[in-house]
Amino acid sequence: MRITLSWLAEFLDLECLFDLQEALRVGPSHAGVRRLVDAMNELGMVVEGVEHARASLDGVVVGQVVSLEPIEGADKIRATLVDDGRGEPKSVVCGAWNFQVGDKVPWAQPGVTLPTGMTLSERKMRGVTSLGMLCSPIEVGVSTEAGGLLVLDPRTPVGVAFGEHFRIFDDVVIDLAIEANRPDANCVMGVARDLAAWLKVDFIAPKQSRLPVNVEADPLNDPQACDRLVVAKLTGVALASFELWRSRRLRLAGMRSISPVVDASNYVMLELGTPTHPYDAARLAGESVAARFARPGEQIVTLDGSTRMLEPSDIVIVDGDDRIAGLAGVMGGLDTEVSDRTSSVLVEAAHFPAARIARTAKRLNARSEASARFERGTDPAILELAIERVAALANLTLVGSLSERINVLSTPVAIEVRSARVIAMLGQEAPLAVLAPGGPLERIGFAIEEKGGDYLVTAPSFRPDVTTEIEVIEEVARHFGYQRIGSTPLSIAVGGGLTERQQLIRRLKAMLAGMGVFEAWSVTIVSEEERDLAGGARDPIRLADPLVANECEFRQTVLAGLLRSLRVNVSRRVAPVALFELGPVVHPNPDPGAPLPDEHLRLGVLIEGGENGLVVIAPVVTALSRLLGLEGRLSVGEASGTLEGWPDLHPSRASVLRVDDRLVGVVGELHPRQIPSELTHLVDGRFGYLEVDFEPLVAGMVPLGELRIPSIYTASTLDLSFSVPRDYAIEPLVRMVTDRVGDLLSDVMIFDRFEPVEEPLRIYVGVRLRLEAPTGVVEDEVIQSLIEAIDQAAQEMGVQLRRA
Amino acid sequence: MAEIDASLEELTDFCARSATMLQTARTTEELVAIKEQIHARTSPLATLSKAMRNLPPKDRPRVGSMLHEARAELEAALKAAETRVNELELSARLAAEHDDIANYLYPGRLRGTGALHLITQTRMILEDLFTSMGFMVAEGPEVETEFHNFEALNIPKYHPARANQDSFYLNYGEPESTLLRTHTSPVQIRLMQSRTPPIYAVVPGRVYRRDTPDARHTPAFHQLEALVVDRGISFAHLKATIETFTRAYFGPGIQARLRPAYFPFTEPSAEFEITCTICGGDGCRTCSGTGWIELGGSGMVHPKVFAHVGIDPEEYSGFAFGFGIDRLAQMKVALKDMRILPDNDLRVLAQMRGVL
Repeated sequence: MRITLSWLAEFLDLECLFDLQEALRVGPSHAGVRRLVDAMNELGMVVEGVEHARASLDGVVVGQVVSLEPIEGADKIRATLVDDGRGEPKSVVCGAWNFQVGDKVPWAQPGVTLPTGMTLSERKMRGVTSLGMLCSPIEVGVSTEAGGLLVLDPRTPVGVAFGEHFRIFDDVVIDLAIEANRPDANCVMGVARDLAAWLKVDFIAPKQSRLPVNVEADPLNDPQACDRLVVAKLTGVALASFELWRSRRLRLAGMRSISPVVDASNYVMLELGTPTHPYDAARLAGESVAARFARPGEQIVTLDGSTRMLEPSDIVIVDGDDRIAGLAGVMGGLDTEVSDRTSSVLVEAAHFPAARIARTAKRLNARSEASARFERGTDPAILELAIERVAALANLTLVGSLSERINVLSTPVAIEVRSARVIAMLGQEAPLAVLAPGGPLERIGFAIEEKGGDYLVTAPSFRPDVTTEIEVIEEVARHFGYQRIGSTPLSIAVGGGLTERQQLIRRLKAMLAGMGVFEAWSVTIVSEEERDLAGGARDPIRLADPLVANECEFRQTVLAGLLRSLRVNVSRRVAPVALFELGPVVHPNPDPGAPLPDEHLRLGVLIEGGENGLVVIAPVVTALSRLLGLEGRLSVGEASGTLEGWPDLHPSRASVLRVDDRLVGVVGELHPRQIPSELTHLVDGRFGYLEVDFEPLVAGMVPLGELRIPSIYTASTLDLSFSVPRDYAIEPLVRMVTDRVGDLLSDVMIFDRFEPVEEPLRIYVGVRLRLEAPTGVVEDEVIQSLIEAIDQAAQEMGVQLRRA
Repeated sequence: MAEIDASLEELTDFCARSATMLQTARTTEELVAIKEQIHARTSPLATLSKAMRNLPPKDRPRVGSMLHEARAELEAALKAAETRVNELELSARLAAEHDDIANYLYPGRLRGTGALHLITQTRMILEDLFTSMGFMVAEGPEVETEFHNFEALNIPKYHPARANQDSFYLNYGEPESTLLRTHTSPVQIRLMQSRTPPIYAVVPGRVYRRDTPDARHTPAFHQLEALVVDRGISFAHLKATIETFTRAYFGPGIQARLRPAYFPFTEPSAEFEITCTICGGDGCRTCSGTGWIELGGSGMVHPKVFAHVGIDPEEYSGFAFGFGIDRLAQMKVALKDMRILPDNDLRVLAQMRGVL
């Protein structure tokens, strides 16, 4: 919300703090302005910007057009002679068409720099001398729109300085962010009232309305839809006017000028926080309005031309024939809009239930300045004042008296505020002074009654947000000053720290980084294409309303997310890729009654290697099983076909990983199709890939129990070479060997794979065994008998031990 | 007689010649050759030894002792020569093996160790800071129920605060019943539902908002939230905790301050700011000339939130505060554009090897 310093000063006795005129001239750097800004921040009305709005009107005078002639050969500009009361009328060329001889207009003479930044000079246009420029409302800074020159009141004296005559001076614009719980601060008066209490200066309250009010209850009103509604008929619309300096304030506040009546209504909303709505009285049956809930099937065309279908939760304004005239608190109807032909208006000021207005405005996507105020809560007590002010500012005449059509406001309830509770919440006693007689809360308008050391607090009508003890305590803290509240260090009697699982995650990540792999932060929301490329997905869960089409559903595999990073790096020729991510995947919940899908943590590791992706990814599997104490229990098995929930990999280079027969992941090489074809020319190696569920690994983890003391004797090495069929699964062979060797085996290593030319269907696999015994060296006879045993077992498996 | 003397003379000569050769020998091959000459059956040593038994007994001791001396002398010379030649040869071999470590100091940017992500490293620093103060670390799901993310946090339907946190809802269950969490605060609810106070916890995690990405915002980002629920917890504790944490993280020169704000789930609520880390409080572009930068939101747990989780607000009170981990990381490494992070460009990740 943008307000100006001069406006604020109408409600706040700033003169006793600093020289206001000086502050307006100097602008944001003035000490007084800075003090105000600090005060607003400390009160939670956050200042997002302070600007100096200079009038820049020195040298702009009121001129009267005394002649208006076409210029030969020009159809967009005309020659005028303008009188400024000093000597002969002077020649000014003008491109506007909305004026005639005799009109008085602002005339910016040569040398003037206008608020828009334009500097004027004497120049010739089409051979005609032009001394400066006749100005539009935009050029003199009183509006953001213009349909030509600003044609002034005919009573304006010729030759006077424009700025001074119309009271347009330098000002300071303060841009405030007002929180949702401060409905009172959505207007100049409210900001002033809060500041007055904090700065201990006088709040200059507006005089209460003295207009007569008739109570004329209208049965069309639904008390659930509106608890107070006041209307007034105002005439003289044809002669309505709105002062230029107020127009300028509207512009500085960021509002458009529309017509004197609408401008006055908007001005009052910014000033008092009370939205009012003017209807063309002639278009309302019975010149009357009431509020009720919409009926099924009803609709309205609003001011912006949209047709809006209504629901029974929407509140509408209806005329005397129960025809819909407006969407209450949100936007008026097009049919009853004030127009050029309007002679008198019915101005409505009302109070609506905040949540209803919020709901309608959100559902119809029709938030307005008015709805923003209604949905936070407006002050039902100043409706008459608002109408009176609209009439006065637009120069309209009240017909008869104001008419109150409903008033079912409930009496405010006193809130019990316990001193002990205030002290407990704020940690000290001093803030209680805020509740004392003459203290800040009372100055704001809270009624406070002390009762046995505690308080009965009644919030004023403009603070609908304060209904409970804790809300009063917040006001106490706010007006005591957050910065004055002391600090008390915690003394925590319970133990904190990381859980074993959290520590394990850190160890795991550190290990992977140590192996040369980089942690990625990849997307959990992927595209359909990425999902299909990664494979394995079933019934993917979609976002209801994705922000971008390529992020529309939850990944079911980490790979679906990592593929995008793969593409980024490959396309930029960044190699070798080595990424890991420990992040969530989201699957449909197998339990249909569960409120949430099945979200669980997975590890994905993607490494680019040489000709065989298995070579680079295998060390990660090994490292993982060593870290988790799963050696011997983490087994690999053949992956056959698509596994639901797991990525598709190279069909003959993929394995499943199991811990104690439970499937925990897949490992293998990326399928060549997973590299986008347009990028394959940038790829040197194959990609090894591992994806494992984290929780079963943690569940199966065996922590390091006991460090074994190794044998002190020289170990024996036994190299065995097996001839195996090409597609033979190696793991059972290794298991057989380790089983046969038993306790003597301290290490096993596949050290060679050889493809013999003479036996194209077989592979020679070299297995090196390290044999140790705790009591001495391992004897040759023992080794010989092991070889025999292995040989025999190998034959039973269809494998041949190659012997010299 | 003269024959013996001649032989002895020859022996002396042989010894002298051999000794000279041994002294000048430079290779093992030369030494082997000299050794062969010394031990050859034709060498004066061998011939004289052989001749001993034909010598008159009176001459034997003299010849014998000379032979003995000559042998000892040659063996000693041989040994010394071997040592010297071995040394020479080792030096020569080592000299030939010259190399330079610099040959191996340019492995390529992506080779060598990997790195933890900037966000992980920042999160770990923060976790360590809070666990050292006695907090535990809690986590929760990224997909949340509307109840945990909004309702239980006193943000009912149509509340303006929901509009401020535009959400990604899921096509799962009832319409608008599940969403990507918009903050880490739903974990507050989960913590209070599953534990009895005292609770001292921090909750780091990823959150999502429907913001169009720009240099400072990505739709997915990370927050850290602190929750304290115990007997006798006051706003003064909240202030002290924020002051302690900001000083510990940003350094002793950094002040923290609170100013009134509004969050539906806390009352009183406060934004917290710290001294601008760029200008030290003098005012600069980063802090819009104010000398302060906004870090996060905080406040005392709202009684309505306690009501949702069945904690008696008359017995317990608590505070919560939260802030963006990404923002803190961004400040540490002066990252100009957050949008590059989800790319996982390895040239960026490789820079994260350094100490934060």
